[in-house]
Amino acid sequence: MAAAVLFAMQRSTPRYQDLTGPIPAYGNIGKAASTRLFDIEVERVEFARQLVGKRFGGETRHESAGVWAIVTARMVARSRSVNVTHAVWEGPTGLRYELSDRPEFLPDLPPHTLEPGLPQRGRFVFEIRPDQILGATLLVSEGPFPRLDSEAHVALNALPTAADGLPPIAEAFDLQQAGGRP
Amino acid sequence: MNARDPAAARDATERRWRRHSLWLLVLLLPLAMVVVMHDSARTWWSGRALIAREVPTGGEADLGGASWRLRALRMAPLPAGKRIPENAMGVVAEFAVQVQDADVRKNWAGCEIALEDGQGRRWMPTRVLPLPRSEARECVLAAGSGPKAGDTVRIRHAFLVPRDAAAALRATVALGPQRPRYLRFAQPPTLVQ
Repeated sequence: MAAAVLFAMQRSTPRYQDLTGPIPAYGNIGKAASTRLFDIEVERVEFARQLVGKRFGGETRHESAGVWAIVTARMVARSRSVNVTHAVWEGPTGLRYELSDRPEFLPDLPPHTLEPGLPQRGRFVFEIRPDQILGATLLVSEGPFPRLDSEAHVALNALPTAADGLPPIAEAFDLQQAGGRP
Repeated sequence: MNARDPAAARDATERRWRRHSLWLLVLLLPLAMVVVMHDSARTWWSGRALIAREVPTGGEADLGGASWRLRALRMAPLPAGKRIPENAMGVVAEFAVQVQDADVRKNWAGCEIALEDGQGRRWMPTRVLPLPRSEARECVLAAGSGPKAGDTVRIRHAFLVPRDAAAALRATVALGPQRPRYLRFAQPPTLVQ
């Protein structure tokens, strides 16, 4: 009995990393998550096999063995100007995908400089496995290691699905086209 | 009776020690907290612009071994565009700063020019608005250029703010070693087209 209690206590003791970790501020698609520094409302999530953009006057095309996930969100700073630099796509099985650094020098990508009272749209682009699409959560914070500070946790639920049970995946997504600001 | 006396005396001593220990705990716990939190509290206190010194319109004030004067605070509405959100106003603040103490690099470390409204919201300089070339520089660059005592340097920053809040904004200057004290200039922005 004592051993069982001790085992349970040992298993359930939160680790230092958990105790001093980020404080989640929850939201979902269409419902803003309000962190200490900024509010974020995810408006849509789109998926594509290829990312298309323009760089130095020429077209760039990024293919993926998985799928590109493009999140468009409306954000605003709360009490002071803030640079939102970090986002993670956390899949249903806990796999964490950092922001892709492949699409460079394209508009509306992080870091997003937010000003109080001036809501603006921005995008977050991830390269993920198709089985991580449904039931994912978007984690957004000012910097890469939020400790004892709030982090937006936006549930990416209620995605429109096609016949195969997955959301529609476009052949190509043009990052140049409107959808970011204003 | 003789056998009980030493035990009673021991009990009394123990009770006294327990009482003393309890009182010591009341003293030592806050003391330990003060010792442990002292550094964090000091960092928090000296890392923020908390105590404003008001500077009247047209006036100047000393901070960090220099005399600061707000030369101009101008604002203009901006059309929404690729990097400009809707309802934005551009504000440019320009200071003329007369250096009195030559150790500007140390005195101006962590220099921060900002705009503040009545609700405590703060807007930091933006890089979205390109400004025409002039001798005016950003605060950190001006400090890095090593001005000497007696020099007057011009410092200029651009801001992106919401139109409805723009008229009520005040320019502020905060320098690292001077925090939590900072300057707040009463001069309101003037609208230009």
